[in-house]
Amino acid sequence: MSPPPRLGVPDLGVGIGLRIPHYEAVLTEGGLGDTARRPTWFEIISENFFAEGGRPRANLDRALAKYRLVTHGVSMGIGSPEPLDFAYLKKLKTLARYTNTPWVSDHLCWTGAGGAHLHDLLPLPYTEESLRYVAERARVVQDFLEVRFVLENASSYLTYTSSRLTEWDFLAGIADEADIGLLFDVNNVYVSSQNHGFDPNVYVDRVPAHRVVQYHLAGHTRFPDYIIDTHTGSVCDEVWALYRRSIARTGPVSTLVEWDDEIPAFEVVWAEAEKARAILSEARAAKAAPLAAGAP
Amino acid sequence: MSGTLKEAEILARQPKAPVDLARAQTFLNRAFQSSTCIPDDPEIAAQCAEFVTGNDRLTPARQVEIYREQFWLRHRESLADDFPSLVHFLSDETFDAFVRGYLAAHPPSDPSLRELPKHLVAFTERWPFTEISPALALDLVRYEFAFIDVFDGPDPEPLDAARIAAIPADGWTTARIVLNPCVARLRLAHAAHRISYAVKDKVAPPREGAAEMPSISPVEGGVRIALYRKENVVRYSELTEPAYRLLEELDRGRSLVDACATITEGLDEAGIAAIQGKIGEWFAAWARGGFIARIDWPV
Repeated sequence: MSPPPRLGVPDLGVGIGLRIPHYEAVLTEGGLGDTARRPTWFEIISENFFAEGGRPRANLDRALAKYRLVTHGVSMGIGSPEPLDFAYLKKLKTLARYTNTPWVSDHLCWTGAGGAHLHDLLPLPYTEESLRYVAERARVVQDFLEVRFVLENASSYLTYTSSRLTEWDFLAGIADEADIGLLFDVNNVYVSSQNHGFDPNVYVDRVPAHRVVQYHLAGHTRFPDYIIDTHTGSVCDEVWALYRRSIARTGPVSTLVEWDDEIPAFEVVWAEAEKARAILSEARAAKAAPLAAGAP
Repeated sequence: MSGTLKEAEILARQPKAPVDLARAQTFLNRAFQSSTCIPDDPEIAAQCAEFVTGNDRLTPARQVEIYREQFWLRHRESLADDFPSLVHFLSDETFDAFVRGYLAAHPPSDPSLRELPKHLVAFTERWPFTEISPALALDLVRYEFAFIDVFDGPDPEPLDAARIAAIPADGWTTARIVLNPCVARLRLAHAAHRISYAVKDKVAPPREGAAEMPSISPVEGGVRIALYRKENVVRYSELTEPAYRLLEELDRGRSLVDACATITEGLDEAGIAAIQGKIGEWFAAWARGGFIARIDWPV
Protein backbone atom coordinates (compact mmCIF):
# COMPACT_ATOMS: atom_id res chain seq x y z
CA MET A 1 0.00 0.00 0.00
CA SER A 2 1.43 3.40 -0.93
CA PRO A 3 1.78 5.95 1.89
CA PRO A 4 -0.87 8.68 2.22
CA PRO A 5 0.07 11.89 0.38
CA ARG A 6 1.90 14.36 2.60
CA LEU A 7 0.11 17.75 2.61
CA GLY A 8 -1.85 16.40 -0.32
CA VAL A 9 1.17 15.77 -2.53
CA PRO A 10 2.53 12.37 -3.59
CA ASP A 11 5.91 10.77 -2.93
CA LEU A 12 7.43 10.65 -6.41
CA GLY A 13 10.57 8.72 -5.46
CA VAL A 14 13.90 9.90 -6.86
CA GLY A 15 14.32 12.38 -9.69
CA ILE A 16 16.90 14.75 -11.11
CA GLY A 17 16.86 18.28 -12.45
CA LEU A 18 16.13 18.43 -16.18
CA ARG A 19 19.15 20.15 -17.80
CA ILE A 20 20.00 20.90 -21.45
CA PRO A 21 23.09 18.63 -21.74
CA HIS A 22 20.85 15.64 -20.89
CA TYR A 23 18.01 16.42 -23.31
CA GLU A 24 19.28 14.01 -25.92
CA ALA A 25 19.48 11.11 -23.48
CA VAL A 26 16.37 11.94 -21.49
CA LEU A 27 13.94 13.08 -24.18
CA THR A 28 14.83 10.71 -27.00
CA GLU A 29 12.94 7.44 -27.16
CA GLY A 30 15.20 4.71 -25.78
CA GLY A 31 17.86 7.30 -24.90
CA LEU A 32 18.15 6.02 -21.36
CA GLY A 33 18.33 2.33 -22.18
CA ASP A 34 16.95 0.22 -19.32
CA THR A 35 13.62 1.89 -18.57
CA ALA A 36 13.35 0.29 -15.13
CA ARG A 37 16.37 2.26 -13.96
CA ARG A 38 15.43 5.68 -15.27
CA PRO A 39 13.92 8.53 -13.27
CA THR A 40 10.16 8.77 -13.20
CA TRP A 41 10.13 12.49 -12.55
CA PHE A 42 12.16 15.58 -13.28
CA GLU A 43 12.28 19.01 -11.79
CA ILE A 44 12.25 21.94 -14.22
CA ILE A 45 13.35 25.51 -13.54
CA SER A 46 10.03 27.33 -13.94
CA GLU A 47 11.41 30.54 -15.47
CA ASN A 48 13.14 28.60 -18.26
CA PHE A 49 9.76 27.43 -19.53
CA PHE A 50 7.68 30.61 -19.42
CA ALA A 51 8.17 31.13 -23.18
CA GLU A 52 5.14 30.21 -25.23
CA GLY A 53 6.92 28.80 -28.22
CA GLY A 54 10.07 27.63 -29.86
CA ARG A 55 12.47 25.03 -28.66
CA PRO A 56 11.89 25.51 -24.90
CA ARG A 57 8.17 24.79 -25.30
CA ALA A 58 8.84 21.88 -27.67
CA ASN A 59 11.26 20.34 -25.17
CA LEU A 60 8.78 20.85 -22.36
CA ASP A 61 6.14 19.01 -24.38
CA ARG A 62 8.55 16.14 -25.07
CA ALA A 63 9.39 15.88 -21.36
CA LEU A 64 5.73 16.02 -20.35
CA ALA A 65 4.93 13.18 -22.72
CA LYS A 66 7.38 10.91 -20.90
CA TYR A 67 7.72 12.03 -17.29
CA ARG A 68 6.09 13.66 -14.31
CA LEU A 69 7.43 17.22 -14.03
CA VAL A 70 7.63 19.43 -10.96
CA THR A 71 8.21 23.18 -11.30
CA HIS A 72 10.92 24.83 -9.21
CA GLY A 73 11.41 28.58 -9.39
CA VAL A 74 14.32 30.86 -8.60
CA SER A 75 12.87 34.34 -9.14
CA MET A 76 9.71 34.84 -7.10
CA GLY A 77 11.38 36.84 -4.34
CA ILE A 78 8.99 35.79 -1.57
CA GLY A 79 10.93 37.96 0.90
CA SER A 80 11.53 40.97 -1.37
CA PRO A 81 10.25 44.35 -0.16
CA GLU A 82 8.15 45.12 -3.25
CA PRO A 83 4.66 43.69 -3.84
CA LEU A 84 4.60 40.25 -5.46
CA ASP A 85 4.92 40.47 -9.23
CA PHE A 86 1.46 39.75 -10.62
CA ALA A 87 2.70 39.17 -14.19
CA TYR A 88 5.27 36.68 -12.90
CA LEU A 89 2.70 34.81 -10.82
CA LYS A 90 0.33 34.62 -13.81
CA LYS A 91 3.05 33.00 -15.90
CA LEU A 92 3.87 30.62 -13.08
CA LYS A 93 0.22 29.64 -12.67
CA THR A 94 -0.11 29.07 -16.40
CA LEU A 95 2.96 26.82 -16.35
CA ALA A 96 1.74 24.99 -13.23
CA ARG A 97 -1.53 24.18 -14.97
CA TYR A 98 0.17 23.26 -18.23
CA THR A 99 2.53 20.83 -16.51
CA ASN A 100 0.01 19.65 -13.88
CA THR A 101 2.79 19.94 -11.32
CA PRO A 102 1.81 18.43 -7.95
CA TRP A 103 3.43 21.36 -6.13
CA VAL A 104 5.23 24.62 -6.97
CA SER A 105 8.44 25.44 -5.18
CA ASP A 106 10.72 28.46 -4.84
CA HIS A 107 13.28 29.68 -2.31
CA LEU A 108 13.03 31.34 1.07
CA CYS A 109 14.91 34.46 0.06
CA TRP A 110 14.62 37.93 -1.41
CA THR A 111 15.78 38.74 -4.93
CA GLY A 112 16.09 42.53 -5.18
CA ALA A 113 14.74 45.90 -4.08
CA GLY A 114 13.90 49.26 -5.58
CA GLY A 115 12.71 47.66 -8.81
CA ALA A 116 15.94 45.71 -9.33
CA HIS A 117 16.03 41.93 -9.69
CA LEU A 118 19.47 40.58 -8.80
CA HIS A 119 18.79 36.96 -9.85
CA ASP A 120 20.21 35.63 -6.62
CA LEU A 121 18.79 33.85 -3.59
CA LEU A 122 19.50 36.49 -0.95
CA PRO A 123 19.12 35.56 2.73
CA LEU A 124 16.62 37.24 5.03
CA PRO A 125 17.15 38.48 8.58
CA TYR A 126 15.58 35.94 10.93
CA THR A 127 13.16 38.14 12.88
CA GLU A 128 9.53 37.77 13.94
CA GLU A 129 8.58 40.66 11.63
CA SER A 130 10.22 39.05 8.59
CA LEU A 131 8.65 35.71 9.48
CA ARG A 132 5.13 37.16 9.54
CA TYR A 133 5.77 39.16 6.36
CA VAL A 134 7.01 36.15 4.38
CA ALA A 135 4.33 33.84 5.79
CA GLU A 136 1.54 36.21 4.72
CA ARG A 137 3.01 36.48 1.24
CA ALA A 138 3.46 32.70 1.00
CA ARG A 139 -0.22 32.28 1.82
CA VAL A 140 -1.11 34.77 -0.91
CA VAL A 141 1.02 32.85 -3.41
CA GLN A 142 -0.49 29.50 -2.46
CA ASP A 143 -4.04 30.84 -2.73
CA PHE A 144 -3.25 32.52 -6.05
CA LEU A 145 -1.59 29.48 -7.62
CA GLU A 146 -4.25 27.06 -6.34
CA VAL A 147 -1.62 24.39 -5.87
CA ARG A 148 0.53 23.45 -2.87
CA PHE A 149 3.28 26.03 -2.47
CA VAL A 150 6.62 24.84 -1.14
CA LEU A 151 9.61 26.87 0.06
CA GLU A 152 13.22 25.73 0.01
CA ASN A 153 15.85 26.73 2.55
CA ALA A 154 18.61 28.54 0.61
CA SER A 155 22.35 28.56 1.29
CA SER A 156 23.72 31.78 2.74
CA TYR A 157 27.03 33.56 2.95
CA LEU A 158 26.13 36.34 5.36
CA THR A 159 24.17 36.74 8.58
CA TYR A 160 22.32 39.81 9.85
CA THR A 161 22.91 41.81 12.99
CA SER A 162 19.12 42.04 13.38
CA SER A 163 18.46 38.25 13.38
CA ARG A 164 16.86 37.03 16.60
CA LEU A 165 15.75 33.54 15.51
CA THR A 166 17.66 30.52 14.27
CA GLU A 167 17.27 29.72 10.58
CA TRP A 168 15.41 26.49 11.38
CA ASP A 169 12.92 28.23 13.66
CA PHE A 170 12.41 30.91 11.00
CA LEU A 171 11.79 28.29 8.31
CA ALA A 172 9.49 26.22 10.52
CA GLY A 173 7.57 29.32 11.65
CA ILE A 174 6.87 30.41 8.09
CA ALA A 175 5.81 26.92 6.99
CA ASP A 176 3.43 26.54 9.94
CA GLU A 177 1.97 30.04 9.77
CA ALA A 178 1.43 29.92 5.99
CA ASP A 179 0.47 26.23 5.94
CA ILE A 180 2.85 25.46 3.10
CA GLY A 181 5.26 22.62 2.36
CA LEU A 182 9.04 22.57 2.64
CA LEU A 183 11.63 21.59 0.11
CA PHE A 184 14.44 20.63 2.44
CA ASP A 185 17.87 21.07 0.84
CA VAL A 186 20.31 19.24 3.08
CA ASN A 187 23.29 20.45 1.06
CA ASN A 188 22.18 24.03 1.79
CA VAL A 189 21.97 23.17 5.47
CA TYR A 190 25.54 21.84 5.33
CA VAL A 191 26.87 24.84 3.33
CA SER A 192 25.28 27.37 5.70
CA SER A 193 26.42 25.42 8.78
CA GLN A 194 30.01 25.59 7.53
CA ASN A 195 29.71 29.28 6.65
CA HIS A 196 28.07 30.31 9.91
CA GLY A 197 29.32 27.74 12.39
CA PHE A 198 26.18 25.96 13.58
CA ASP A 199 25.51 22.26 14.03
CA PRO A 200 23.65 20.99 10.92
CA ASN A 201 22.24 18.07 12.91
CA VAL A 202 20.31 20.47 15.12
CA TYR A 203 18.84 22.12 12.00
CA VAL A 204 17.78 18.73 10.59
CA ASP A 205 16.24 17.70 13.91
CA ARG A 206 14.22 20.91 14.27
CA VAL A 207 12.61 21.11 10.83
CA PRO A 208 8.89 20.20 11.00
CA ALA A 209 9.06 16.71 9.49
CA HIS A 210 5.40 16.60 8.48
CA ARG A 211 5.88 19.63 6.19
CA VAL A 212 8.81 18.26 4.20
CA VAL A 213 7.45 17.23 0.79
CA GLN A 214 10.72 17.17 -1.13
CA TYR A 215 14.49 16.93 -0.64
CA HIS A 216 17.28 18.48 -2.66
CA LEU A 217 20.77 16.99 -2.80
CA ALA A 218 23.73 18.62 -4.56
CA GLY A 219 27.43 19.31 -4.51
CA HIS A 220 29.16 22.53 -3.51
CA THR A 221 32.50 24.30 -3.91
CA ARG A 222 34.84 24.93 -1.00
CA PHE A 223 36.88 28.15 -0.91
CA PRO A 224 39.44 28.95 1.80
CA ASP A 225 37.03 30.98 3.97
CA TYR A 226 33.58 29.86 2.87
CA ILE A 227 31.59 27.34 0.79
CA ILE A 228 29.42 28.26 -2.21
CA ASP A 229 26.38 26.24 -3.21
CA THR A 230 27.45 25.71 -6.83
CA HIS A 231 25.54 22.47 -7.51
CA THR A 232 28.69 20.98 -8.95
CA GLY A 233 30.34 17.65 -8.18
CA SER A 234 29.09 14.69 -6.18
CA VAL A 235 27.12 14.91 -2.96
CA CYS A 236 29.63 14.77 -0.10
CA ASP A 237 29.56 12.18 2.71
CA GLU A 238 28.49 14.74 5.31
CA VAL A 239 25.44 15.67 3.23
CA TRP A 240 24.49 12.01 2.71
CA ALA A 241 24.68 11.58 6.49
CA LEU A 242 22.36 14.58 7.00
CA TYR A 243 19.97 13.16 4.41
CA ARG A 244 19.84 9.77 6.18
CA ARG A 245 19.24 11.51 9.49
CA SER A 246 16.45 13.62 8.05
CA ILE A 247 14.80 10.73 6.19
CA ALA A 248 14.70 8.84 9.48
CA ARG A 249 12.52 11.68 10.82
CA THR A 250 10.36 12.44 7.80
CA GLY A 251 10.07 9.00 6.24
CA PRO A 252 10.53 8.54 2.48
CA VAL A 253 9.88 11.78 0.59
CA SER A 254 10.38 12.80 -3.06
CA THR A 255 14.09 13.43 -3.51
CA LEU A 256 15.92 15.23 -6.25
CA VAL A 257 19.59 15.52 -7.21
CA GLU A 258 20.66 18.87 -8.73
CA TRP A 259 23.80 19.33 -10.82
CA ASP A 260 24.07 22.73 -12.54
CA ASP A 261 27.72 23.49 -13.17
CA GLU A 262 30.20 21.40 -15.16
CA ILE A 263 27.32 19.03 -15.79
CA PRO A 264 28.59 15.48 -16.46
CA ALA A 265 26.94 12.70 -18.48
CA PHE A 266 23.43 11.72 -17.40
CA GLU A 267 24.71 8.42 -15.96
CA VAL A 268 26.99 10.25 -13.53
CA VAL A 269 24.13 12.38 -12.17
CA TRP A 270 21.83 9.39 -12.10
CA ALA A 271 24.41 7.41 -10.11
CA GLU A 272 24.02 10.03 -7.36
CA ALA A 273 20.27 9.68 -7.55
CA GLU A 274 20.62 5.88 -7.21
CA LYS A 275 22.40 6.42 -3.89
CA ALA A 276 19.42 8.43 -2.70
CA ARG A 277 17.11 5.69 -3.96
CA ALA A 278 18.99 3.11 -1.88
CA ILE A 279 18.59 5.26 1.25
CA LEU A 280 14.88 5.74 0.56
CA SER A 281 14.47 1.98 0.06
CA GLU A 282 16.15 1.32 3.41
CA ALA A 283 13.80 3.83 5.03
CA ARG A 284 10.76 2.19 3.43
CA ALA A 285 11.95 -1.24 4.56
CA ALA A 286 12.56 0.03 8.10
CA LYS A 287 9.08 1.52 8.20
CA ALA A 288 7.50 -1.69 6.92
CA ALA A 289 9.48 -4.04 9.23
CA PRO A 290 7.55 -3.45 12.49
CA LEU A 291 4.29 -3.90 10.62
CA ALA A 292 5.49 -7.15 9.07
CA ALA A 293 6.70 -8.39 12.47
CA GLY A 294 3.33 -7.66 14.01
CA ALA A 295 1.31 -9.19 11.19
CA PRO A 296 -0.64 -12.38 11.92
CA MET B 1 -16.83 35.85 -9.34
CA SER B 2 -14.48 35.91 -12.32
CA GLY B 3 -11.08 34.26 -11.99
CA THR B 4 -9.28 37.54 -12.59
CA LEU B 5 -11.28 39.37 -9.93
CA LYS B 6 -10.63 36.59 -7.43
CA GLU B 7 -6.92 36.71 -8.23
CA ALA B 8 -6.88 40.48 -7.76
CA GLU B 9 -8.53 40.10 -4.36
CA ILE B 10 -5.96 37.53 -3.30
CA LEU B 11 -3.09 39.78 -4.35
CA ALA B 12 -4.65 42.75 -2.55
CA ARG B 13 -3.98 40.89 0.73
CA GLN B 14 -0.26 41.53 0.40
CA PRO B 15 1.37 42.96 3.52
CA LYS B 16 3.77 45.92 3.58
CA ALA B 17 7.41 45.06 4.16
CA PRO B 18 8.60 45.73 7.74
CA VAL B 19 10.57 48.99 7.85
CA ASP B 20 13.78 47.44 9.23
CA LEU B 21 13.72 44.66 6.65
CA ALA B 22 13.21 47.09 3.77
CA ARG B 23 16.02 49.30 5.09
CA ALA B 24 18.51 46.42 5.18
CA GLN B 25 17.41 45.25 1.74
CA THR B 26 17.69 48.73 0.24
CA PHE B 27 21.27 49.04 1.47
CA LEU B 28 22.33 45.55 0.37
CA ASN B 29 20.59 45.90 -2.98
CA ARG B 30 22.85 48.87 -3.69
CA ALA B 31 25.97 47.20 -2.26
CA PHE B 32 25.53 44.01 -4.30
CA GLN B 33 25.41 46.10 -7.48
CA SER B 34 28.37 48.27 -6.57
CA SER B 35 31.05 48.59 -9.23
CA THR B 36 33.83 48.60 -6.63
CA CYS B 37 35.01 45.82 -4.35
CA ILE B 38 33.16 46.32 -1.03
CA PRO B 39 36.17 45.94 1.33
CA ASP B 40 37.97 48.59 -0.78
CA ASP B 41 35.17 51.12 -0.30
CA PRO B 42 35.49 52.44 3.28
CA GLU B 43 32.07 54.09 3.29
CA ILE B 44 30.07 51.03 2.15
CA ALA B 45 32.30 48.70 4.20
CA ALA B 46 31.47 50.66 7.35
CA GLN B 47 27.74 50.56 6.56
CA CYS B 48 27.91 46.79 6.05
CA ALA B 49 28.71 46.34 9.76
CA GLU B 50 25.38 47.92 10.66
CA PHE B 51 23.44 45.18 8.90
CA VAL B 52 25.81 42.20 8.58
CA THR B 53 27.61 40.35 11.38
CA GLY B 54 30.68 38.92 9.67
CA ASN B 55 32.36 35.97 11.42
CA ASP B 56 35.78 34.87 12.66
CA ARG B 57 37.01 34.47 9.04
CA LEU B 58 35.14 37.16 7.12
CA THR B 59 34.40 40.80 7.91
CA PRO B 60 30.87 42.05 7.20
CA ALA B 61 32.23 43.73 4.04
CA ARG B 62 33.75 40.46 2.79
CA GLN B 63 30.48 38.61 3.38
CA VAL B 64 28.67 41.23 1.30
CA GLU B 65 31.43 41.02 -1.32
CA ILE B 66 30.60 37.33 -1.94
CA TYR B 67 27.15 38.35 -3.18
CA ARG B 68 28.52 41.33 -5.16
CA GLU B 69 30.87 39.00 -7.00
CA GLN B 70 28.08 36.52 -7.72
CA PHE B 71 25.91 39.36 -9.08
CA TRP B 72 28.67 40.35 -11.47
CA LEU B 73 29.57 36.83 -12.62
CA ARG B 74 25.96 35.79 -13.19
CA HIS B 75 25.00 38.78 -15.33
CA ARG B 76 28.27 38.89 -17.24
CA GLU B 77 27.88 35.21 -18.12
CA SER B 78 24.28 35.69 -19.18
CA LEU B 79 25.16 38.52 -21.59
CA ALA B 80 28.23 36.64 -22.87
CA ASP B 81 26.01 33.62 -23.66
CA ASP B 82 23.48 35.78 -25.50
CA PHE B 83 26.01 37.91 -27.42
CA PRO B 84 28.86 35.55 -28.38
CA SER B 85 29.96 37.65 -31.38
CA LEU B 86 30.56 40.71 -29.27
CA VAL B 87 32.57 38.60 -26.80
CA HIS B 88 34.56 37.21 -29.73
CA PHE B 89 35.69 40.59 -31.05
CA LEU B 90 36.28 42.38 -27.76
CA SER B 91 39.03 41.89 -25.19
CA ASP B 92 37.86 40.67 -21.78
CA GLU B 93 38.64 44.08 -20.36
CA THR B 94 36.49 45.91 -22.92
CA PHE B 95 33.60 43.47 -22.64
CA ASP B 96 33.74 43.78 -18.83
CA ALA B 97 33.62 47.58 -19.05
CA PHE B 98 30.72 47.38 -21.50
CA VAL B 99 28.75 45.02 -19.23
CA ARG B 100 29.50 47.09 -16.13
CA GLY B 101 28.31 50.21 -17.96
CA TYR B 102 25.16 48.44 -19.07
CA LEU B 103 24.30 47.03 -15.63
CA ALA B 104 24.84 50.46 -14.07
CA ALA B 105 22.63 52.18 -16.66
CA HIS B 106 19.98 49.45 -16.71
CA PRO B 107 19.95 47.42 -13.48
CA PRO B 108 18.30 44.03 -14.09
CA SER B 109 14.64 44.37 -13.25
CA ASP B 110 12.83 41.39 -14.74
CA PRO B 111 12.54 38.03 -12.93
CA SER B 112 13.85 36.35 -16.08
CA LEU B 113 17.46 36.73 -17.25
CA ARG B 114 16.00 36.36 -20.73
CA GLU B 115 14.93 40.02 -20.43
CA LEU B 116 18.33 41.27 -19.26
CA PRO B 117 19.40 42.61 -22.69
CA LYS B 118 16.14 44.44 -23.39
CA HIS B 119 17.92 47.85 -23.43
CA LEU B 120 21.17 46.60 -24.93
CA VAL B 121 20.61 47.78 -28.51
CA ALA B 122 19.97 51.37 -27.41
CA PHE B 123 22.89 51.19 -24.97
CA THR B 124 25.24 49.88 -27.67
CA GLU B 125 24.38 52.85 -29.88
CA ARG B 126 26.00 55.13 -27.31
CA TRP B 127 28.99 53.01 -26.24
CA PRO B 128 32.38 54.26 -27.56
CA PHE B 129 33.86 51.02 -28.93
CA THR B 130 37.43 51.27 -30.20
CA GLU B 131 38.52 47.63 -30.72
CA ILE B 132 35.88 47.19 -33.41
CA SER B 133 33.87 49.82 -35.20
CA PRO B 134 30.83 50.99 -33.22
CA ALA B 135 28.70 50.26 -36.31
CA LEU B 136 29.84 46.61 -36.36
CA ALA B 137 29.21 46.25 -32.63
CA LEU B 138 25.72 47.65 -33.09
CA ASP B 139 24.93 45.29 -35.97
CA LEU B 140 26.15 42.28 -33.99
CA VAL B 141 24.05 43.24 -30.96
CA ARG B 142 20.98 43.97 -33.09
CA TYR B 143 21.30 40.62 -34.83
CA GLU B 144 21.91 38.55 -31.69
CA PHE B 145 19.13 40.36 -29.82
CA ALA B 146 16.70 39.52 -32.63
CA PHE B 147 17.94 35.92 -32.56
CA ILE B 148 16.92 35.59 -28.88
CA ASP B 149 13.44 36.95 -29.65
CA VAL B 150 12.90 34.56 -32.53
CA PHE B 151 14.31 31.59 -30.59
CA ASP B 152 11.43 31.33 -28.15
CA GLY B 153 8.75 33.63 -29.51
CA PRO B 154 5.17 32.34 -29.57
CA ASP B 155 4.17 29.87 -32.26
CA PRO B 156 1.46 31.22 -34.61
CA GLU B 157 -1.60 29.16 -35.37
CA PRO B 158 -1.12 27.12 -38.58
CA LEU B 159 -2.44 28.81 -41.74
CA ASP B 160 -6.05 27.95 -42.39
CA ALA B 161 -5.98 26.56 -45.94
CA ALA B 162 -9.80 26.48 -46.19
CA ARG B 163 -10.07 30.19 -45.34
CA ILE B 164 -7.41 31.07 -47.90
CA ALA B 165 -9.14 28.99 -50.58
CA ALA B 166 -12.41 30.83 -49.85
CA ILE B 167 -10.94 34.22 -50.74
CA PRO B 168 -12.27 35.19 -54.20
CA ALA B 169 -9.85 36.47 -56.83
CA ASP B 170 -10.93 40.10 -56.36
CA GLY B 171 -10.65 39.65 -52.58
CA TRP B 172 -6.89 39.74 -52.85
CA THR B 173 -6.99 43.43 -53.71
CA THR B 174 -8.04 44.17 -50.15
CA ALA B 175 -6.97 41.03 -48.24
CA ARG B 176 -4.48 41.75 -45.47
CA ILE B 177 -1.53 39.39 -45.13
CA VAL B 178 -0.64 39.27 -41.44
CA LEU B 179 2.97 38.38 -40.79
CA ASN B 180 4.15 36.07 -38.05
CA PRO B 181 5.33 38.30 -35.17
CA CYS B 182 8.10 35.80 -34.57
CA VAL B 183 9.83 36.80 -37.84
CA ALA B 184 12.39 39.57 -37.37
CA ARG B 185 13.50 41.84 -40.21
CA LEU B 186 16.82 43.62 -40.01
CA ARG B 187 18.69 46.07 -42.21
CA LEU B 188 22.37 45.82 -41.37
CA ALA B 189 25.53 47.50 -42.62
CA HIS B 190 27.56 44.33 -41.92
CA ALA B 191 26.90 40.64 -42.51
CA ALA B 192 26.27 40.20 -38.79
CA HIS B 193 24.21 37.06 -39.40
CA ARG B 194 27.09 35.31 -41.18
CA ILE B 195 29.62 36.57 -38.64
CA SER B 196 27.48 35.29 -35.75
CA TYR B 197 27.11 31.83 -37.29
CA ALA B 198 30.87 31.68 -37.93
CA VAL B 199 31.62 32.71 -34.33
CA LYS B 200 29.29 30.05 -32.98
CA ASP B 201 30.98 27.48 -35.22
CA LYS B 202 34.37 28.67 -34.02
CA VAL B 203 33.55 28.07 -30.36
CA ALA B 204 31.71 24.80 -31.08
CA PRO B 205 33.65 21.54 -31.51
CA PRO B 206 35.25 21.46 -35.01
CA ARG B 207 32.98 19.94 -37.64
CA GLU B 208 32.93 19.54 -41.39
CA GLY B 209 31.15 22.37 -43.15
CA ALA B 210 31.67 24.84 -40.31
CA ALA B 211 31.12 28.41 -41.47
CA GLU B 212 34.18 30.41 -42.55
CA MET B 213 34.54 33.77 -40.84
CA PRO B 214 33.26 36.36 -43.35
CA SER B 215 34.65 39.86 -43.74
CA ILE B 216 33.85 42.18 -40.88
CA SER B 217 33.93 45.22 -43.16
CA PRO B 218 30.65 46.89 -44.09
CA VAL B 219 28.88 45.27 -47.03
CA GLU B 220 28.39 47.60 -49.98
CA GLY B 221 24.72 48.57 -50.13
CA GLY B 222 24.10 46.88 -46.77
CA VAL B 223 22.28 43.62 -46.10
CA ARG B 224 18.65 42.87 -45.38
CA ILE B 225 17.66 39.71 -43.58
CA ALA B 226 14.64 38.00 -42.13
CA LEU B 227 15.20 35.80 -39.11
CA TYR B 228 12.67 33.06 -38.64
CA ARG B 229 12.24 29.75 -36.86
CA LYS B 230 11.65 26.49 -38.65
CA GLU B 231 11.43 23.18 -36.78
CA ASN B 232 12.63 25.04 -33.68
CA VAL B 233 15.86 26.15 -35.35
CA VAL B 234 16.47 29.87 -35.96
CA ARG B 235 17.42 30.51 -39.58
CA TYR B 236 18.01 33.59 -41.70
CA SER B 237 16.95 34.51 -45.20
CA GLU B 238 18.81 37.24 -47.12
CA LEU B 239 16.35 39.54 -48.84
CA THR B 240 16.58 41.90 -51.77
CA GLU B 241 15.56 45.50 -51.13
CA PRO B 242 12.15 45.14 -52.86
CA ALA B 243 11.37 41.93 -50.98
CA TYR B 244 12.34 43.57 -47.69
CA ARG B 245 10.16 46.59 -48.46
CA LEU B 246 7.23 44.39 -49.44
CA LEU B 247 7.39 42.62 -46.06
CA GLU B 248 7.66 46.01 -44.38
CA GLU B 249 4.56 47.32 -46.18
CA LEU B 250 2.57 44.17 -45.41
CA ASP B 251 3.59 44.49 -41.76
CA ARG B 252 2.16 48.02 -41.80
CA GLY B 253 -1.22 46.50 -42.62
CA ARG B 254 -1.28 47.32 -46.33
CA SER B 255 -3.05 44.96 -48.72
CA LEU B 256 -0.86 43.03 -51.14
CA VAL B 257 -1.97 45.21 -54.04
CA ASP B 258 -1.27 48.45 -52.17
CA ALA B 259 2.06 47.13 -50.89
CA CYS B 260 3.12 46.16 -54.40
CA ALA B 261 2.08 49.58 -55.69
CA THR B 262 4.23 51.26 -53.06
CA ILE B 263 7.38 49.25 -53.74
CA THR B 264 7.12 49.69 -57.50
CA GLU B 265 6.43 53.43 -57.33
CA GLY B 266 8.66 55.34 -59.72
CA LEU B 267 9.93 52.22 -61.53
CA ASP B 268 9.72 51.86 -65.27
CA GLU B 269 7.74 49.03 -66.84
CA ALA B 270 10.71 46.69 -66.93
CA GLY B 271 11.40 47.29 -63.24
CA ILE B 272 7.76 46.66 -62.34
CA ALA B 273 7.70 43.49 -64.43
CA ALA B 274 10.89 42.24 -62.76
CA ILE B 275 9.37 42.62 -59.31
CA GLN B 276 6.03 41.11 -60.35
CA GLY B 277 7.94 38.16 -61.73
CA LYS B 278 9.55 37.60 -58.33
CA ILE B 279 6.55 37.96 -56.03
CA GLY B 280 5.34 34.38 -56.48
CA GLU B 281 8.82 33.06 -55.65
CA TRP B 282 9.06 35.27 -52.56
CA PHE B 283 5.70 34.20 -51.23
CA ALA B 284 6.48 30.56 -51.79
CA ALA B 285 9.68 30.94 -49.74
CA TRP B 286 7.91 32.98 -47.05
CA ALA B 287 5.12 30.44 -46.78
CA ARG B 288 7.70 27.65 -46.40
CA GLY B 289 9.48 29.70 -43.70
CA GLY B 290 6.24 30.35 -41.81
CA PHE B 291 6.40 34.12 -42.35
CA ILE B 292 2.64 34.40 -42.82
CA ALA B 293 0.50 34.03 -39.72
CA ARG B 294 -2.90 34.47 -41.39
CA ILE B 295 -4.77 36.24 -44.15
CA ASP B 296 -7.58 38.57 -43.12
CA TRP B 297 -10.44 38.87 -45.59
CA PRO B 298 -12.80 40.60 -45.62
CA VAL B 299 -10.77 43.23 -43.76
